[in-house]
Amino acid sequence: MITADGLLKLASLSKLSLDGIDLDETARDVGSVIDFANEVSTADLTGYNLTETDDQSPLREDIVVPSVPVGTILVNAGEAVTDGGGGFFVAPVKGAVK
Amino acid sequence: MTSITQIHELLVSKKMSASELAEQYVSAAERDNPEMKAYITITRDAAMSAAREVDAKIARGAEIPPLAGVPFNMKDLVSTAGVRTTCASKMLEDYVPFYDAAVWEALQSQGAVMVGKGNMDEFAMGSTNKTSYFGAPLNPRGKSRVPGGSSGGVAAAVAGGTAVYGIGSDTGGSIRQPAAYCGVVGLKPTYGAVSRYGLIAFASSLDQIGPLTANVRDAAIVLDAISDKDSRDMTSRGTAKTADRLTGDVHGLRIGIAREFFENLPPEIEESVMASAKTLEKQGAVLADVSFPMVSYGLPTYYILACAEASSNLGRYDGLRFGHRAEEFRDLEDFICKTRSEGFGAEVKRRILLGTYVLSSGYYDAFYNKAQQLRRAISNDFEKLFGAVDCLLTPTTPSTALRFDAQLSPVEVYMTDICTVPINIAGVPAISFPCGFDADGLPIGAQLIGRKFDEQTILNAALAFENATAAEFLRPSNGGVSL
Repeated sequence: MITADGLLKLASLSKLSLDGIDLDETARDVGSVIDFANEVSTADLTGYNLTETDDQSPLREDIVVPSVPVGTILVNAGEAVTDGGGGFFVAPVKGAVK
Repeated sequence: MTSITQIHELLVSKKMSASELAEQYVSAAERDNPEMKAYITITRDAAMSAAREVDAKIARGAEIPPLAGVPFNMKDLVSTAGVRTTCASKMLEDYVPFYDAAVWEALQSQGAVMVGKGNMDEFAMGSTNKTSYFGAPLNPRGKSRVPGGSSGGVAAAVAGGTAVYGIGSDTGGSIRQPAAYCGVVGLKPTYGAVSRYGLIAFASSLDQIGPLTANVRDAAIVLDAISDKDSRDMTSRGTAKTADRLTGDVHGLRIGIAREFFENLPPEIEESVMASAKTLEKQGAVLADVSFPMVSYGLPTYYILACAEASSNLGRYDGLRFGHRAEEFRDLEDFICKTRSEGFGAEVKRRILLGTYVLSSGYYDAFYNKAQQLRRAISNDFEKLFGAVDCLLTPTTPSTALRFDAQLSPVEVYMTDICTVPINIAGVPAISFPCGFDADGLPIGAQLIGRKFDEQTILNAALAFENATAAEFLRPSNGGVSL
């Protein structure tokens, strides 16, 4: 279970706004999924070797490769400043954007 | 349904040109899409241009690869430079990538003709396709039914005859479940068989790209074209080529039947899947009863791991670098929160919240850590089983295609993936193929699960079934192109 206050805390951590949303109903909804996920607590893993793995983490040489031009990276930005070969994203602050 | 091999023969024998084919498929997609919604974006000009290049190659007398000139549908989470890639989300409604995914590079090198970008559940999160911001596609096998998800538009395009094959992605069943619902073949390759470079991420340790096709041989042909090692995705290793080694011979093949996958099934699904087992037995396979007790933990394990990764992966959508931006806000924090709340749909937000919950202090060990332990246990169980049998046969889904108006809770919808998620958790390959019909004439899918990087065995077994049944379960639907 999760309370409406708990849901607001979770939304804050998730960078989501719950303005205009029925908190109690959403808490019940999310709570039912959490309860479902909590079924993992009943699993008995006695006898399993939980440390063995057949997967090897592949490594690659630490070599500098050509990167994407800054101007290309900025193409999809809502607001950006470009100057010659450089440029940057613009983060909106209070009063800077309508 | 028209196959890749049929198209290839038409082109090589010059009975049809690639341009004529492209025109037919693009026109059919444009005609059917207002109702069927299998596509989010139809790329007529690019398709016709690619087809003309194939025609020029044929005119020069050059050999063409198997996928040259073959029209297909690409799920709209595969990055395509210059073509918008939306993930079926308001968040990326106008996003146009500046680079191609590895899989699109591979297909372009063959001369593939992309009809358009396929509809899907938003950010690949869903089992019905109802979460698409652009509206849900209809199932060509019954328009009151969902096509499944998340690659529902792709499956619907193949079943509906507006694409010869499709490229989907599968995080917990998103290729196999819609393939089963729409009566086509769907292959989830081994994790690492296909590069994920350029695939917009949902849950990176589970996501894998694969084909949806009209038959088993086509799935092998597409897999061969897209599977490769790619230094831009360090998990990719490629997998052995399969199409030329397809035999359809299952003599001596040991097929495990795990009863746990058959619990609480409608009788007609159990009967169809068991009948397919018997068909394979008649072809020389050996059936063996085996046990997979961890099946019931697959879904909760999957939702913890997938949502945890999604909450992290989707953190990048802040409105600053790409995607939707809120217009009204108080400060930067409010801007980011409102951007995300406006841009994401309800299911995506639900999963981000769950992912944040299981990763948060106080719950991490009980949820995320336990799920990681279960992932290892489920993988160990598969490895143990594959010491005794060569593959497993299960149903793909516990139901046929759901009705659009079915009133189900989120957890009830998640249950449609109960047979498919353990495969992603373990990273093994699996194929869904049509094996029957229910009383309403809706397709039933069976699933073959194999060892890591052994797609050959499950493709062979599925082909053996297809050959033995004279492909009677691979039926065309109304609409689309009829050659």
